[in-house]
Amino acid sequence: MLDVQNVSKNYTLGKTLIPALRGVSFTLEQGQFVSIMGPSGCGKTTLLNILGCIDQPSDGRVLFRGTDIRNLTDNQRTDTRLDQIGFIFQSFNLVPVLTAAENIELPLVLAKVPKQQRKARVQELVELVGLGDFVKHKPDELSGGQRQRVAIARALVNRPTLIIADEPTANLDSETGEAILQAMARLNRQEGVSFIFSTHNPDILQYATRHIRLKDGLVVEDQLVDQVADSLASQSSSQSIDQNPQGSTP
Amino acid sequence: MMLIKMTLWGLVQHPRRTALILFSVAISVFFMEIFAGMGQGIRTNFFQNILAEGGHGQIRGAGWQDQYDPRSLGSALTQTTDLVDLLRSQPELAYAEPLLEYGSVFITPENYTIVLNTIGVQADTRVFPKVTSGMVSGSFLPTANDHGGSGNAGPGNTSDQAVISRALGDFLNLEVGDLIRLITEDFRGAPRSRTFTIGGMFSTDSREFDTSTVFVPLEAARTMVRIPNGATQIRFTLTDRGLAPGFTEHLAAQVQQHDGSIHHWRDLNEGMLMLVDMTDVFIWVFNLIMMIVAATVITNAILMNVFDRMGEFGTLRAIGMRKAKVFGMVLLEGSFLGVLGSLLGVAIGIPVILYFQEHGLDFGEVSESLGMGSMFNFGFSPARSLADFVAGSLTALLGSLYAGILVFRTSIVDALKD
Repeated sequence: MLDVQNVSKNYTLGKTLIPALRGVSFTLEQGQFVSIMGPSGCGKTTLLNILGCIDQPSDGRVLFRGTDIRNLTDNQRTDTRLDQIGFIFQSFNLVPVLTAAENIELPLVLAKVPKQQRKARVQELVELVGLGDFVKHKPDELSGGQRQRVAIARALVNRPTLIIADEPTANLDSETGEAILQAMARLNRQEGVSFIFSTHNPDILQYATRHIRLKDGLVVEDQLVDQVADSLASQSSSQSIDQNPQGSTP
Repeated sequence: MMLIKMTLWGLVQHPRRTALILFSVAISVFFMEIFAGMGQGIRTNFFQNILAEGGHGQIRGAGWQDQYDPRSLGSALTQTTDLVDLLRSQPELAYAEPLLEYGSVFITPENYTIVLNTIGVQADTRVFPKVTSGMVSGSFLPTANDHGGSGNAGPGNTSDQAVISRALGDFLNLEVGDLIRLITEDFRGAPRSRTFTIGGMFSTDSREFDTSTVFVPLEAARTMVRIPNGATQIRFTLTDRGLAPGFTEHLAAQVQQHDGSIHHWRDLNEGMLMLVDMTDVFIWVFNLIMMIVAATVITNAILMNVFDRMGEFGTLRAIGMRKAKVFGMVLLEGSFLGVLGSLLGVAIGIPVILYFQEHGLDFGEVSESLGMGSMFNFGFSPARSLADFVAGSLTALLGSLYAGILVFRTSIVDALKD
């Protein structure tokens, strides 16, 4: 689904060229649940931005479903993000004026989905992420866990093939963070959506089926952990996030 | 609906900033309205007052424009009847009337000398509507039929009645029925005097005009300056003032044969028209300055809104909103403020204009010196108000353009950092 070929990314700081990524290569298959780990400044967010078509590599290629994203126009990349990719941000990045339901519905509005279908899909996701009676609440009336559930539902609403989550649990307490990871793992299995999430918390790595470790802009480790994921999958199905629908305030 | 809600969120979030933008747009549009009202008033005054008195054209004696003294009788017309008949034979003519205007001196009982502009007019004159409709005592020059008089010389006869202003009467301690003796030079330079009975007093909105003008019957004036059938000018109005240039051109040669020259209102009021045009230019420049100031305030305030919401715009772009739509959201915000502010400006401006249209604004000698009277009535034009509303709205739109371009150019990654 995703083929990353020798991707480099440089930033300029004044007259200094700072390499954020230095020839990263890997492929991602449909349905994988991938963690990207590494210390601060190793290039995790830069890599996720490039994979999510919101940034361009300085060198190398990223093929998304066979298409080199550098060859796409800005509108084509925007449409790709809308139709194929969901984003979950560390700070939730919800629109403050919209209710939880409206935040979830927003990508459907941008995709010009008819109202009836939008409402049905939003209801489906509200139940899936366990938002319960909080759909009419605005983000500032929700806890951190609830906000991230809204963000997950928003990322899923257009039935993307890939969800990119940049440190999705960083602003949550450990219990809520774990519940969010469990939810993502469950959705990965149920909806067949691929997830790539970045983290520097080793405790949540257990949920991933593949670990990619970055250091100084390079992939230093790329490991499949199917057997671990299988055991966690059975555990997560019994500890559904529905048991903790409101989450807790970070 | 959702997008509109998002667009206008920034306005609700920052009420002071929103109020500042609304105020700057509203105040700009308000002043544009007021100045437009003044401009409209100047035009209205010009066409209603100056053209009503000066007519759409005048026939003057040949060489009139070269005279050093405008009251000199040296270029007076002597074949007035022929010229009036010539005008009246034209189908475009609505009205024509001869006037005999000259300077005369009045010596007060205290031996003060006052120079008065003496105007010999027909009793049924139509070229001084402010005077004939502004009689405060007595009546305007009565016709011979009013008293059954014969027009013979001597106080008491209709031909020896004069009309002065109330202001002049008060200054000279004169009342209706009192006598005034006017001294002048006839067309040969010989001194002449004649006594008139004050038949009426008028009052207009121009004190300068009131205190320097005396009206006497045309025939009496002719007798006094010894120019039978004479006039210093023949004022005429046409069925349409737009016909005046062609009309005067058509008659120029024939008028010249009678030792006259014919002029249309544009020629006669060249200076005034230039002033009216300059007023328009001044209003445009003023409006432009107002718009630039408003646009700067709006740009600044919307930029602050945009910087506050840059992360939100980044998120919207990341989840699939096209650049153009985000750009449109910023412009919509500016347009909304522009429309609302302009509506406020127009809503405040129109009642003020209507008030000054009804009651006028006293500009004193400034407008008197332009021949428009001291009270200056504003003019209201719905089309102009609409234009001000559109200008205000467009200014806000232009003001938000820079902020929109900034958002358009900011990368998603940079926007998400905010």
